[in-house]
Amino acid sequence: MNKDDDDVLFFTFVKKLVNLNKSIRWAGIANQLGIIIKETYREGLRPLLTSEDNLEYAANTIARHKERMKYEPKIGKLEYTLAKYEKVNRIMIPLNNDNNYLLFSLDVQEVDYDNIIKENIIPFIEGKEVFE
Amino acid sequence: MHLAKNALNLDSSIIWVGITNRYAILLNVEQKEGTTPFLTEEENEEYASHSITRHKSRGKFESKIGKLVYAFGSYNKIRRATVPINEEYYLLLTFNKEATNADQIITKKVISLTEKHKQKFVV
Repeated sequence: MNKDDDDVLFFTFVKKLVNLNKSIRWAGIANQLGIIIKETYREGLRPLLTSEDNLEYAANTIARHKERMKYEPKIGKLEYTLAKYEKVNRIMIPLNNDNNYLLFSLDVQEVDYDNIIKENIIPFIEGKEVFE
Repeated sequence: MHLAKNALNLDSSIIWVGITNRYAILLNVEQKEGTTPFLTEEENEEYASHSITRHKSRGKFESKIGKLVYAFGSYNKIRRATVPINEEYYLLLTFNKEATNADQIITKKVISLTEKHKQKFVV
């Protein structure tokens, strides 16, 4: 697969992901260095953070995740992390053996994030050959 | 410190509770009777230290997205959460895998409890 193919696949992936659930506000894919490869917003959304803020957020999130990996032999592999803020929920899911990361945000009113992740997001990721 | 013990008894899915200050010193730890610790004492201290470091790095966008209410991680074997008590102290919780409603447990039970105990933790 060449870079252009990847580009299209990643773009399609984040676009489809944002439409999986009405409470998803923003979705992005980051690489191992925490650099956002592709991102998209829910249509009509007034974002809380700028694209530059999202870049910094992604870099910090991936750096924090790497500290957690030390205990995986004892507590198991990380499925997802969530940070609940007063105005938004932010989630990170490692993809294809920690080569990429899915970052997305949910409306703060959404309390059923565990169900959304397990019922909507993870099956969607598992069905995508780009992350196999 | 009754907070850790009380927090441990809030829900059957909570199996470990720690209280740490902002210097990541574990002040109190409670493990649910009959459960086996996943981490050693030293590992818990290191975990506390990493949790607090991570928490500090999450504050950057507070003016835009609000204060952090809690941070949560779901692993294959357990689930963990960091809940700020105030600006100086934090409650660390470990849940078993059956805790599928962690948001409800944290926002309805744990935060109500930390609110009650808040004044005992001097900033």
